[in-house]
Amino acid sequence: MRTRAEGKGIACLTRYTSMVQRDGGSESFERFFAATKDHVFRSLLVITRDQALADDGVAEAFTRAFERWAEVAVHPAPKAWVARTALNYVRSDRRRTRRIIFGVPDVPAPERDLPDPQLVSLVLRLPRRQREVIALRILLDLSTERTAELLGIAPGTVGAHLSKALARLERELVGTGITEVEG
Amino acid sequence: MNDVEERIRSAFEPYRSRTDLDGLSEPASARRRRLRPDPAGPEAPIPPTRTSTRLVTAIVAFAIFAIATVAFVVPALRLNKNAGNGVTSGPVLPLWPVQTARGLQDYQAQADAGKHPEALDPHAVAEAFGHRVLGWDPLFVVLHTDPISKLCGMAVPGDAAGEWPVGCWSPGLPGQYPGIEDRSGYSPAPMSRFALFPCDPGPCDLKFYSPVDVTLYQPLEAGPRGIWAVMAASNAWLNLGVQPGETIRDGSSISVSGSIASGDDFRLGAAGVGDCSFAMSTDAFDSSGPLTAASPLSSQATVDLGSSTGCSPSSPGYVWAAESKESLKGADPLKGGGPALTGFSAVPVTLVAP
Repeated sequence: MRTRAEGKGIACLTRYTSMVQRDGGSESFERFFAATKDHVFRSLLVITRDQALADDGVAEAFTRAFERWAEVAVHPAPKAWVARTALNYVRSDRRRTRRIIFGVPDVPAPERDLPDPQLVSLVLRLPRRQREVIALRILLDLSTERTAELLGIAPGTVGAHLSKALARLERELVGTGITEVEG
Repeated sequence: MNDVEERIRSAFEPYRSRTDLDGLSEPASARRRRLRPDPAGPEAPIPPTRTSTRLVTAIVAFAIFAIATVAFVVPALRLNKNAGNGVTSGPVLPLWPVQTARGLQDYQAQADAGKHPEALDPHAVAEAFGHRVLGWDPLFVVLHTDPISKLCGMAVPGDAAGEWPVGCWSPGLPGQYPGIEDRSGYSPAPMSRFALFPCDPGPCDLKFYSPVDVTLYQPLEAGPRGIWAVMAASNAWLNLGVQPGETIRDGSSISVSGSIASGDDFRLGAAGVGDCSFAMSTDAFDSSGPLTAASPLSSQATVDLGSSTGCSPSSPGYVWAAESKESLKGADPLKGGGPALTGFSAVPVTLVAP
């Protein structure tokens, strides 16, 4: 026997499912895509420091999200779902291509009047784990718990990496200069 | 808010994915060929777009709104609390159900006399706002007890079924700026925030019928005898470029950016209250993207108080943006009587006539 709340929920879900079936969920997916693709891209850009790979990750992740939209749409955190898929893709791509990058590759500025090019440069020079935490916590606005889950580390470790990264950036922004580079 | 965090967001804002919806069905190898830079030359810079500028503006607007709320509204509310029963308008007059200092006094007096018992219950005020302004029935009201990011995947507080998770799409103020609650000197203000949904939160939220978040406060007196009123309403798809309490001078612009569903009607408007007769709205907007099921939206309008009466030297008013499946021509949601909305954002302002 259904409770009243269950009945309402099922009715709502049924309407949603009907909508997905009727138009492929295109409206909701397109809104999701429009609202999140650039955030996912920036996160991947900071993690990979490779614009083309970041764009590939975005395309792959959203393609898979669209294919499974009925499932992803009812996921409690679709943005985290896409981020996980994109991260898996870029990681497997790097394993597959066995690219070895020495130093920090140049990431072309998107505009001539980039508002804070020094900060972009400093962020891209952070160690990988600190970049990952900044990408997911700040640029993708995921919670500490989700970030920890995606990176396979403890929530406390996320906080520690974030604090270290921000402290380092603050220190370097006040004029101590760019410090060591890690690939 | 951490300055460096905000600077990082702003610094990377111009970077935008070149992936479009049409490219999603493209094989990865083809995408790679298309997206990879020509090995003979440097990668061409992504051309600047107006959308990125608007996104930066929206983020900065939200940041200013949060800072203004913490820096000005909260201390002001505490002053009101210390002042006991004194009637002070404070820096921000409410958005709803009354919008003037006189209206507040009358409303409080009526509540003191036992009328409008719902005015003493923020949940009831939020619910009434959802019914009368948004035109939603059924309506589901969820209290933001935690930053929304912490609510992702959790059961809805107070939900008897306890099985529908809160989605993660609400941009509600708590959680919009994670960590602010941990700052030294910050303490909870006599404010409550609710997410309003037109159907059960979990599936509903994910349907992108994005909730409307309403911020309520006690404008006159903190405590069980103080009335509650709506200070601001916000929706993820309609980001107003105006903050609560902002002064809007004659000739200045108001704006909104976000996204609009195909076929929906849209209005950006402003109005004076009390003696000020000013009222305007526009349905004109720019869209930098393809007109598909959901398209980017940017609209701005000039506030022309010249032909209005009763607005000098300054008057309370409000700025609003609304989206509906039905025509919004001639409608002002805060006055009621219009069609049901699919999105709504509004803030109280002060209008200054020439």
